[in-house]
Amino acid sequence: MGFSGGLQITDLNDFITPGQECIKPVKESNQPAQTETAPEPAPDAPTTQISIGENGEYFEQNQKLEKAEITLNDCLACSGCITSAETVLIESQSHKEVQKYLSSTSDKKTMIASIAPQTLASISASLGSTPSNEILLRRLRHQLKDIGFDYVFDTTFSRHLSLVEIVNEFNSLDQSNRLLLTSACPGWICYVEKTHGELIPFISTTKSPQQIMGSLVKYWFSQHINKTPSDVYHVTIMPCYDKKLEASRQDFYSDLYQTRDVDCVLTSGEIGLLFDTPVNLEVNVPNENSLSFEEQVIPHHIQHPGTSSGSYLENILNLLRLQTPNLRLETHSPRNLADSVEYLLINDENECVFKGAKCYGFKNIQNLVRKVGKERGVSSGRGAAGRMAASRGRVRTRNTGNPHDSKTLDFVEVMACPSGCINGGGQLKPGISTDKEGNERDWDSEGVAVNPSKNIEESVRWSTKNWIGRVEDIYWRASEDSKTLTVSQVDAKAGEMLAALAKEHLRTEYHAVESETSGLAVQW
Amino acid sequence: MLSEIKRFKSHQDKVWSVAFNPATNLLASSSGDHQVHLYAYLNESWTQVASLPQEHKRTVRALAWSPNGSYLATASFDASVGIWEKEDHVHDNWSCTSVLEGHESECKSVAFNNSSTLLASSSRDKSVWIWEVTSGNEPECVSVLMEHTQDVKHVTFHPHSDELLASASYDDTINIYKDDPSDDWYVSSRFKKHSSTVWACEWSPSGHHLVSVSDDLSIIAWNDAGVPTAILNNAHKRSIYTIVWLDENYIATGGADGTLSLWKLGYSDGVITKLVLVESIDKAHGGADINSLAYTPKTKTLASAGDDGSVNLYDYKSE
Repeated sequence: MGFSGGLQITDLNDFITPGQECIKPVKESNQPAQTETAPEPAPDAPTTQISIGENGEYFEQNQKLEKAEITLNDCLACSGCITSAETVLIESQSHKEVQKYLSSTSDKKTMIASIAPQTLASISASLGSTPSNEILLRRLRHQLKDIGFDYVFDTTFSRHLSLVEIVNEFNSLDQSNRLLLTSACPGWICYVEKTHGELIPFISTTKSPQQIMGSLVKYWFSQHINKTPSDVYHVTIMPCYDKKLEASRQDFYSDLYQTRDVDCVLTSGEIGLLFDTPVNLEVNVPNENSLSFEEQVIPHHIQHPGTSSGSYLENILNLLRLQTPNLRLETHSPRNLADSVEYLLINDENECVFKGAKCYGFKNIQNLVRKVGKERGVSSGRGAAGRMAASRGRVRTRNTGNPHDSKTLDFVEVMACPSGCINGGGQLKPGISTDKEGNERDWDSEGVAVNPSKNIEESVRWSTKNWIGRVEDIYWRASEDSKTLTVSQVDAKAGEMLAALAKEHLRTEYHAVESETSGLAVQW
Repeated sequence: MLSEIKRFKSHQDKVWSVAFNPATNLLASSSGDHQVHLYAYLNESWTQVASLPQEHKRTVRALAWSPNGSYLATASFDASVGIWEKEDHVHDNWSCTSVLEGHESECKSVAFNNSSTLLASSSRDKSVWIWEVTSGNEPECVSVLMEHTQDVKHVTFHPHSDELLASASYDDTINIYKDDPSDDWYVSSRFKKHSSTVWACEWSPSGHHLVSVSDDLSIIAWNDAGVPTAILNNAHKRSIYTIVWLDENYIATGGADGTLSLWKLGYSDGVITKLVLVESIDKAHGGADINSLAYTPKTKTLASAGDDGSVNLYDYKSE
């Protein structure tokens, strides 16, 4: 199967697990009994008895029941469980699908791949020589073109566009009463739509870097190479399985061109599956030290200081401090957790003018949901928003002893995974004995050792923590040769693209999923 | 050693849980009738003193008092956890001050840590949640632990260390969690020996030993490295649901065979090496399942909760 085997051995508390029971209603046309005959029911059988035929089919009163098939779209439309692509088999989002397009002989589409910077860091960390992200991308591009891709990009420029657009969105809000929650994390969005629809008004409508890359490729780059959007098959390589869910959203499908912004998403761990024989990314490839065509058309390797999950909050903080230079930055972390930090901007009068937060991981999201619910007076009564006891409730407020406790949140960078995207569910994991290219790895000699003084659980945890630290380091390692464009040049390019792309290519919308009730979900 | 002193037929349905308040003279029971009842030790005897206002929409599966006696937590099949605090200074007037939602399905167990600052809850959704409870503040979620592959039947904190939590599951294992103050709670070890659902596990009063009971009819004593030091098979004739420590030398167990058993523990080199049955009360609840046991050293009283809807109290005399 396509999902990386390394996934199970981690002990990370990624919240996205399948629900207890899928409640997809089976719609079937009860046609007259088929040729198969159902087992003869017992004379006293209840009227709704479901029996199993010889070949394992299900019959209800001699009617053969249709086998329920669950597709990705069912999961997106259902509120029955909090699901993730990690456990739902998605035919249309697999490496086999990509291979099908790569190998099609009659009117082959223009094959384009866009690789996330977190994916590059993850792959680089798994290599003994850890090439710079820039060289690694060029080697990957070389290998991908070998198997039929036409163009290979990274997604840092589309992230840049996403950051520019979210500033526009933030600036359009009423300064005295604003709250923007980032939307680049599809796991978080999935959770909000299914469990906390009351938060949708606060979710940023700016598209994620993946989806803006989709817009760029389909509606800008395709023109550049004299193609139509539907001539292009666009694959993204992401650190996250839930990006598959995002790409499959109806909002990112164009009826006009009958095409999706991103046709298929593969994870960092799945990219190796595209190759029939293992590729060695540690050897040089021709022209790996010079700018490729792609890099000349779209800027590459743009670093955004802040977090390895997109730097959304840092981006807003920088903007505000640029506007008002004498603002003082204070950070607070109630339990000293790197995944839950508040960033306060305080003016000369010691007033807090902006409260931002970084909130990663499910447990911190729970507290965010409770906090926002209280600050904004919204509650869904579902999920962990918590409610005060119906009667007699004493008013409880969180008192951390900080004078700015009463300031409401303005902006939150939310990610479902602990440590954010660098630790995404689709990333390569430590402890696998061979890397994606099939090379044996010796973690001990590379400082990703399993600590012998600890038991196995502690060791796995210990090496996982070290591993994430290693990937994070590689992510931030400046790529030396990529400074071909200055910030102002990138901004100029961004301005050009933003002008060329219609608003619909930069923004999206969200939909609360109403809870359906079905017989299977009855509580007794 | 055990002599029955009282039988409360106060519930309309199965009694699922009993718990003594460690700081006061109160006992609480919870039931399939959605009710929580309070009993008090007054004038040398136990009397029912109150029924809490109904907060839960379904069975109240488990109860836990905080060690400081200030909070009562209730875990319900309605997927929520209630936190109750004493109203004014009336000792039996408790009201629900927070309802914790987040579990996806039935809550099965609740437990407080030694400092009464953390509450753990477990659920059929396979998760264990840890909440921070400080007086006057809204509880905050500290951790969500998805470390079992099945229903988590029971959670319990270490009696002295605030950084240790154990959970028992339908997946036949016990997980021991530790707190990493710079990060999150994590599984530090997994105890595997039972061949079926582990219904409960409890640390000894000293905290040096852990004893678990299971659907596989065995009682297992574990050392702190997760090594079984004593395994008693066929301890009961049917599933064992509950275990309680009376002191460092005696435990009581109960389960689906309706028998309340008292065991003496044998130690060797500081670990439990054997369990000897010293007393068993057949049909303690008229043959119905025994779901929960609780003990208070203050009045030396053992309480049992049964499917017959009654709460039984026993006087315990050590040898």
